[in-house]
Amino acid sequence: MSAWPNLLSTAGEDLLDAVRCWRIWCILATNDIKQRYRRSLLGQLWLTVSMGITIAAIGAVYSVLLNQDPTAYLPSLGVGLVCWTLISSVVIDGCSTFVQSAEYMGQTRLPRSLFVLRVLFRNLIVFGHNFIIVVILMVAFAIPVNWATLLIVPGLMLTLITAMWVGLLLGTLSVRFGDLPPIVASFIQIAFLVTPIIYTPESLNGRLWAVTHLNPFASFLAILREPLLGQIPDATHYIMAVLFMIGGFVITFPFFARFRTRIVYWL
Amino acid sequence: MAAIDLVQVGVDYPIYDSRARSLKQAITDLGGRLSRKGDGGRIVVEALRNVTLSLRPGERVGLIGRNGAGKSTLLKVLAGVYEPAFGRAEITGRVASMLNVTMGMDFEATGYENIVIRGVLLGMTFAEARSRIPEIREFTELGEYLSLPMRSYSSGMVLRLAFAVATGAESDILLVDEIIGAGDTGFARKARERLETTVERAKIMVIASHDEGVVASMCTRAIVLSAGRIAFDGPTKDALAFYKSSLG
Repeated sequence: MSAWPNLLSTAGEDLLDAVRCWRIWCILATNDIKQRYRRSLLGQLWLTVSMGITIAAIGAVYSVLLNQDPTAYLPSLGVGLVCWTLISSVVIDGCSTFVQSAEYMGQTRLPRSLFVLRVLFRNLIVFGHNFIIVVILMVAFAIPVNWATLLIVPGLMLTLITAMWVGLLLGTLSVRFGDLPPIVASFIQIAFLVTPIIYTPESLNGRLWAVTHLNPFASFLAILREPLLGQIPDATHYIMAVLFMIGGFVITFPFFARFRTRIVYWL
Repeated sequence: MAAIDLVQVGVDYPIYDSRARSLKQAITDLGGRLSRKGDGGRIVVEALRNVTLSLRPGERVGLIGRNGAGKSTLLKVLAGVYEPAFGRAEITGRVASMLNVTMGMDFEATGYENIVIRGVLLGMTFAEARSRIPEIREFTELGEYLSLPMRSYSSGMVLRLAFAVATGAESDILLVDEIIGAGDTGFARKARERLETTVERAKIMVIASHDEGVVASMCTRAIVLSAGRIAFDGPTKDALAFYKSSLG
């Protein structure tokens, strides 16, 4: 077994090489999306259509159920669901990072983290398709586009960089432990319910403080959703997101360095 | 610069069944270890042991041995897929591996799309990958089929395309696992010629084959593997003689 400094530096190189091979993860991710909709007429527009239907259905029922004004509720719900889909699918998809790329990993010496970037880019493409709905909601409900809107850029950066370690960690563990993906999937379902997506954070009226302030999902959702609604997210959400991002890397990087070469043996 | 140096390389495959793969088992293992202080009885296949070899530019090496002797594993170590658990493996140069020629091909995508996807996987830019289209179209004689999804191809047509895409890329080290007999006799001859030019361009070639004729005609040096160890390493003629006598 090689010594730690050596392991850490080759893991670092793996990450850098993966970024340099951008053409490969771009074409693999694009092809993943194409493949899903290859034989359909609407093609990848189905992504947009099915998201639109979900928002319309939940919006119609829950605005009545929760006694909400639809003009305020619908944009918050719609933008929230689009952002939540990005967050939840990078976590769920992250589990299949290496399992799904077994064919490539067993044949070539492509950097391992390249396959994480494939998953991230694929979900970013899906987010791009769903963004059409965000634009429709912005126009239909006259959501102000202002300086706060620009905060979506750091919001997305923080989310995707965090998703990088999530993919490395869950992807590696899922190869070794086949039970992990279903556990993560059910965990995400619970996270959906305890994160203010269907209900607004305001409707909690300061109750259940932990739901909005100790829940990393809520923080990442806030730094994505609120800029798109023309609002500036609370600073505590940025602090939470940055801590979660850095904390995750501190744990994941040595883990990845240690097990990077073993992944292919576990596949 | 192309060079391969293996020093005392060993590779083990751990075998995990569904029981060992489950989290529950891992957790109970931790408990078990406290009391037994031993290993969990994990099954390990010793695929390679104490493999030491150096290859330099100009060498054409054949790997021979019975099924399970470690030929494919050694090729995968040379390809950089398996970083060995023991010893050291230093591989310098751009590696092209023809271990599985259909790797990364999407049967729902068209022939043209697959040429680009595979090209990019080999390290080309999008433009470089596209520039190979005319040459591959001519070689495979697939014509209009290239604009159809690959699932509509016959298995011979798939092999033609896969072979054409996998060969003809620039590389320093070429790794081949069994020569595939691609299609009808006319095409088999063309394929052989194409492989030969690819081999000539590569600085180092390593081929694993059961076909003694292939090894005898293409290789300058041959390595006989037996149970994951090098049993013989030397000129092709001597290696083949050794292999025949070892088979009894």
